[in-house]
Amino acid sequence: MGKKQLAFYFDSSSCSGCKTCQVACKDKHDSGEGILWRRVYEAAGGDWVKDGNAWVPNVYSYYISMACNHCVEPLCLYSCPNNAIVKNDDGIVLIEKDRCMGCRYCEWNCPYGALQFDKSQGVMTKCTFCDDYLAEGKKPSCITACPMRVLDIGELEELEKEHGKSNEIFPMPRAHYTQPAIVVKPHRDARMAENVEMKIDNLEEIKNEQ
Amino acid sequence: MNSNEWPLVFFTLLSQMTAGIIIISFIVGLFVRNSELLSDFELKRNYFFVSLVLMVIALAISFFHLSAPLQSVFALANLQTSWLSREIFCMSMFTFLIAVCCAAVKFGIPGISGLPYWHIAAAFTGLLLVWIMARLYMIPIVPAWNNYATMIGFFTSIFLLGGVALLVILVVTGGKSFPFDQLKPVMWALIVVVSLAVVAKLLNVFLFQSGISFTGGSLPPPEAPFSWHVIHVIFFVAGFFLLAYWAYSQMQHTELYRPQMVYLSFALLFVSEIFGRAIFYALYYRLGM
Amino acid sequence: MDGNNPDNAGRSHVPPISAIDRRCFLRLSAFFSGGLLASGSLLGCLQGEEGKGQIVSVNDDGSVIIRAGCPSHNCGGRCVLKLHVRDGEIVRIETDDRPTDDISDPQLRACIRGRSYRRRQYHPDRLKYPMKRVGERGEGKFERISWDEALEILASRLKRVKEKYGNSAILVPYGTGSYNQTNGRQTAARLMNLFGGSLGFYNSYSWACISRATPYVYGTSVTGNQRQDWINSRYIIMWGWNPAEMRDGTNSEFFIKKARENGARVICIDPRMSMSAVSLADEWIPIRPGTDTALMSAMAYVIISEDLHDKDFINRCCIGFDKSQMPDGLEEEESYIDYIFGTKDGVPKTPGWAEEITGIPARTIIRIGREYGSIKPAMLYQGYGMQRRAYGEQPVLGGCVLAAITGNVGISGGWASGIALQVADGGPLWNVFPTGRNPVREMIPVFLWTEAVLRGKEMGPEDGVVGGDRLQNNIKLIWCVASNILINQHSDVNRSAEILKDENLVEFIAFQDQFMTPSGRFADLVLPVCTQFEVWGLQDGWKYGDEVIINPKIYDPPNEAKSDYRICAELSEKLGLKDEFTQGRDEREWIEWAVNHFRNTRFPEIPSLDQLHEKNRGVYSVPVEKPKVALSDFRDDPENNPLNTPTGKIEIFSRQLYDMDKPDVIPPVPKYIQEWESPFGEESKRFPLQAVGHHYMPRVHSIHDQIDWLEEAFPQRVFINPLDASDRGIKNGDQVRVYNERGEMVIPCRVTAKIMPGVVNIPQGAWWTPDEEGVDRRGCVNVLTSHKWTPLAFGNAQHTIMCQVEKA
Repeated sequence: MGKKQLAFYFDSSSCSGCKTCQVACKDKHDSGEGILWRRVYEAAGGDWVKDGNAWVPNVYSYYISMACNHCVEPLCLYSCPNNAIVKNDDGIVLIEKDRCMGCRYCEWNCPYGALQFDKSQGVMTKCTFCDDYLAEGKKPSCITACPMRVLDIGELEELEKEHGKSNEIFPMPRAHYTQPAIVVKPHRDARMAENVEMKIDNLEEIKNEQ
Repeated sequence: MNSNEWPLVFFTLLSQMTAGIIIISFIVGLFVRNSELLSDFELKRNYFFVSLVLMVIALAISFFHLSAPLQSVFALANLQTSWLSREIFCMSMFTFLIAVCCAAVKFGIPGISGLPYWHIAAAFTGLLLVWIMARLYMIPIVPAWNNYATMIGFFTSIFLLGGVALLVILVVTGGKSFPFDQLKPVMWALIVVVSLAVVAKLLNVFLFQSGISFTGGSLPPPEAPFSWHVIHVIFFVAGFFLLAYWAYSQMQHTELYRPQMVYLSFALLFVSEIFGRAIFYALYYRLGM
Repeated sequence: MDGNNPDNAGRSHVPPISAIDRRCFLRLSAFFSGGLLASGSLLGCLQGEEGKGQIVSVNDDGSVIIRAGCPSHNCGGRCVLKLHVRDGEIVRIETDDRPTDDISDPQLRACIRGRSYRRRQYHPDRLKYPMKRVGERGEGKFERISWDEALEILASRLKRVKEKYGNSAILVPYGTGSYNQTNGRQTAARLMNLFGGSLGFYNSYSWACISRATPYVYGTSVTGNQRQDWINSRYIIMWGWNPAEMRDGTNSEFFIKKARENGARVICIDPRMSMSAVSLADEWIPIRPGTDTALMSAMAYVIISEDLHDKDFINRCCIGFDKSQMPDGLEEEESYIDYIFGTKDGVPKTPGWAEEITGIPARTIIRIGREYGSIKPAMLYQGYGMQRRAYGEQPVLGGCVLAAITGNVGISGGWASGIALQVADGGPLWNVFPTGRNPVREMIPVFLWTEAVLRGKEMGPEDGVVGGDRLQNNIKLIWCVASNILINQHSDVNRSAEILKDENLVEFIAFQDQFMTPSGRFADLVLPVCTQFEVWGLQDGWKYGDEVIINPKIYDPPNEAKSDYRICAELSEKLGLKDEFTQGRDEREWIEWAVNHFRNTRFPEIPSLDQLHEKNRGVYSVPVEKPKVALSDFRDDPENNPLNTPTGKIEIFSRQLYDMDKPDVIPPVPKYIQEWESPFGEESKRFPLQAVGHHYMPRVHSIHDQIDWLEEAFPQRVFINPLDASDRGIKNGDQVRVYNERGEMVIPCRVTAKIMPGVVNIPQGAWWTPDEEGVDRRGCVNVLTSHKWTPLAFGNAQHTIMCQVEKA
């Protein structure tokens, strides 16, 4: 039994991509323009075949709602020169704003796009797992927002026991880089990480500065 | 490429050029041991002082990359795991050692005789610095960077820019006051260094290409503006051939031949490197999301 | 913060507070004595209200929690927001947090639109003062005037038009911007009815065909089981239905998810791979827009020819299925089965026939026909998009008939199709605010209001006019309340704009709203309205939910905005109708009245408004433990529980429709009719792409179009298939020109395989923003739509569009 590690559970099979989680997060944290601690990726692939008079779709698509995965091996934390990124007793990865010098090196190191630069404050920001809500015994804002009830939280080990270890769904990266604390229930169309036939269909909505 | 990465272009190039000046001056000094020129006080003063100025500029520029520069007081806090912390540490050491060299040259403390040791220390720190710098960019989730092309590219910049810069310093310092036969071996040594760097650079193109053509990413690999590639290549070719032409012409002369050509060549190569480095940053993309 | 400064009143007043605190469960008295509230204004405000010991909570940051209805616009959602209010400002919005969230009474979780509401509430563009027009009409130039002057102008204009033309020259147009009783067009409708009336209308822009056609089959609109019954279904067809995005009732998408977890197979028939197709369906079947009845007919062909139809049910409960069931004297007319097998027209409606029309492979049609015919019980849920089309009545009728011949009517887990208002009483009431009776008897179909501007006096029954032979007047005065129908949401924006610009036609236009919408730009008088956070209000569960949601007033309106009710009340004074209009009530007292009204109708157990307010749950709900099933009495005993149709049975063949004698456009059995703008017509040579304007996640029709968080999440663009895009040299993200003979727009595109080839989608509701050349730069789909109406319902056919797209 390792250290405590809180984790997100996300049921991609029923996510409608409505982005209520994204806005609930923005509202709770008063996030500035372009800051999407939680955001929703629209994965899509396939094509159309004309069959006589008919159109046969070979099109597949699903949504991945993604925040910070509070990784077991947080590359962001390892990369930060200032020790401004910490992992607390619950396994939550947090930024200590007062120590951040805004070099954005952590941003390069996170394969989930979780670390986002806030121009107005001049520091990096990221999902806090709503640690203030946890302290009050409440679940994070995104979780209780979901109209489809596809988001939840739990202990990583317990979630993996219940749902299996599933954390490499496209467009997520392979898990070995950071050991993300997340369990994703795959959609029927789900493809694995590093799939070359799929693409993120809604890049313009993600605004990840690359 | 993000606009906040432009300071990094100049910071990395200037610090690598400086490392080049320090390292090459040391190496060349080993091979051309009897040159009166190299033991010349004025030349040493010039390349150490130029190096110090360059490092101060590079460090100043690096602060432009930070949005909360005051917090950089914490920047050495994570030597344990952060390559960036290590880079900053090494950078500081390197600058400090150059400053000591300058002090040694200027004030004679701890004595001219001690200078070579400080120079060795600075040269090794410079090598270490560039190695750390390359490691810093070899991030596991960044396919375009996470290969030895980054390492080779950075070391190429050391020898290319450092070599030509030293040549410029040599020419400026030496001018017409030294007999050419004394200048010659040093100059040739530098030309050899630059030529090797050029070869390495050309070979590295293929290695770099394999990094950026990785296909397993979910984000579309970015592209640098075509014009950047054009400037990078044309300025490089022009700078190199100008240098080669100058070297060829110099062989025909016993006096220093048209030093303006060296300056221009340096300028062309430096601009080429700026765009080359900008392309490097622009091709950042990561695995995942 | 200075609570005593009246200028600050808008922001500094905190409402009567009630909330449940996690830490301090306090009564107000304790609140005061404990001295927890240092803020004078907060204190003052608390004391100023009833102060009846409401349950109050204070967060660490000094904010208090108030649960309130999400401002009800015309989405299908009716949700609860949990507002954090600090220093008179809403600083955070969460949603329903009732401890239980089971299927009988699930939490009413707000969607992205509600959760973004702070960006609307505090938007700098909110209307602040009354204004009158100074430039040309439509130019959008206004100057500030006083409320007194504004209401004087409106009162005198109303009186003048009434005197000169009569009340029927006044129109308070269709408007669905607010549904909280005290905000919304119903307030103006009440005043106008007291003033002598205004031109009446029937129908809606949402449901014209489905509300008109359903009763021809069932004799009622109440054809829907309660949603909790959906989990009993084994097979669900979401036909052009996208509840995950348009929220056809809060939680409808959640109920489908539950049904699927319970074993139902779900398919989605839609030209777009909608959010619902991705998240709720097991299979997506793309269909060429406007060909739904062809698919339905071919499915019927499969079902009947494979003997999968429910013969017992058809015999007992239906008429018109085959020759044996035809009404008296019409035995030789074309029965449903005649149409399906082509007995009279020589065209059997085979899957192969439908493949050509719908673009769906015949083998797929056969398969889903078999599935729907054999898996019991099954639901065929009709979305509303397919009935906002050229012959939008036909797919409504066709869906009802499919449900009937498979015997899915009147059973748990089944679904009768049609408009499906909820059993037993048709569901909630939406507006209980009493508008009274309109003394003007003539009514027009709502979609034909521009016709009534141009040629009202010539309009009669052939134009759908009811209540009189001819209209008495052309429309001369429009008082537009909570409506963007004048320009943005009505078909053919460029035509509407020309009509409204002409001051000889409509002589005066008053506009009453929260923002300067494209409709507002054509006003002569602009009146600023507060939001639903700034007035007492109440909502119920829209089409489905058994709940009442209260909207406590959070604080006074900022600047000079007022509630629609307050504006009407002040206007009523100038018209000498104050006592009749207000009956002495302010907004809160009307909400008390509404709660009492609900107690006397749907919710006998509902507590008083004071009690609801004190509990601070935001909602009163009645859990549905045993969901009711529509038409089950009829099914069990059709002889003794006849339907309200002429024959008392389910009318697959309708004599009423037959008697209209327009078999080509109003056939007595549901038929596929090629649309007047179609990929099969001549027009497709110039305009080869079909366009649809779907209900978009970030907007409720045209509301929320200016909200940055929503635009960030879902930008406006045209969606186009990669095959169509590459034919035109278009790359993802390019600016493209979308046009037809009625108008054009230039907007960015999204190239995606998630839409059928030959179809483009321009999400409806974007605000018309013409440049100097009249080209819309925002992407209002109505620059492309046609003013032509449907034959039976006189409804809007706004999704029947052919257009062309090219790189801009």
